[in-house]
Amino acid sequence: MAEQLIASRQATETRRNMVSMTEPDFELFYRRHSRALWAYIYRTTGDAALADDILQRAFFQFLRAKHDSNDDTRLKAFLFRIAYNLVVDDSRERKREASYLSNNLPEESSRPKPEMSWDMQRAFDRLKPKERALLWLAHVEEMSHREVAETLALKERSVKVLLFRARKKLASAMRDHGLDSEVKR
Amino acid sequence: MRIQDCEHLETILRSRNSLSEEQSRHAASCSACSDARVADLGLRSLARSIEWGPLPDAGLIWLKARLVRLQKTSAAINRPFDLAQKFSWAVLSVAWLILIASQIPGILAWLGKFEAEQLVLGGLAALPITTKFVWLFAGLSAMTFTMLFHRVLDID
Repeated sequence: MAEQLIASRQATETRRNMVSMTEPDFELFYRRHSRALWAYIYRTTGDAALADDILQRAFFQFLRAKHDSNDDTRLKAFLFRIAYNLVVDDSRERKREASYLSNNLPEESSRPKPEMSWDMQRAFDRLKPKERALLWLAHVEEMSHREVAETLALKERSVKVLLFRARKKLASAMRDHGLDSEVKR
Repeated sequence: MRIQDCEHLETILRSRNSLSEEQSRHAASCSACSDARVADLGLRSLARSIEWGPLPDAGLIWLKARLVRLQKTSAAINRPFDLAQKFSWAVLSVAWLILIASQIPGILAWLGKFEAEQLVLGGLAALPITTKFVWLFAGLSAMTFTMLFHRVLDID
């Protein structure tokens, strides 16, 4: 009896609120975007274990949220937006912790890193979370300004300005470390 | 900071490592294009150099989300029953308080008769006074035990 009630209520909820995702749909969506999302989280946090954790939480929240569209680009933007919010929350939480204040750089993960990429990571870590997200989405994920704006809840016009500033900051950090000539090779 | 908008920016970013001579000359002289190119190449090298490990399992995430949704739904269904149970507890507690408050003089008088020399006599004398109380007491006790039994079953 209770199971029937639960099932009928779930069905009503699904019809009323959202475009539901079946398990095979979700697995396909996960296969398509999980690596890109993990790379984004890993490079914006600098911590592989944290990236695993945030990836799971992002997909979990994504599944629990109400979607009004089945369009893959919009769903991807929505997923990255959840991840971005989680990364920002986590970074605020870390800042509050006294132990984190003594060592402001993210911990080195257990996975080995080539020298250049580690220095590049340090240069990237100098940026604010929003700047890191903007650059990653625009340059690595190759999102348009409109998609970046949608993902980070910004106005399309401000994306251009913020991107310009973030690029300048990253390029200057790279030049300070002598990384600009290295990447051009 | 003034924003320099360059019409060549998109082309230079698209060309990446295969810039023409003219594009290279422009990139060297235009700070917006130069910054964008350096940042772009750096970010791509960062993306390429990731050491991949196994990612969390999609099935587990799906299962967890499904379980949480199920728990939320069943909590919503049980909410009226929980409210009814809380209301019953409140009514029962008030009934206990009224019974005890109304019977306190009788109870004290009854207990006073249990002195050593009057024990048997006092107990017998108290019988007609306490019959009503005993019935109410038994009734409320039965209700309390039933509610407690349900509570224990709920927790299990």
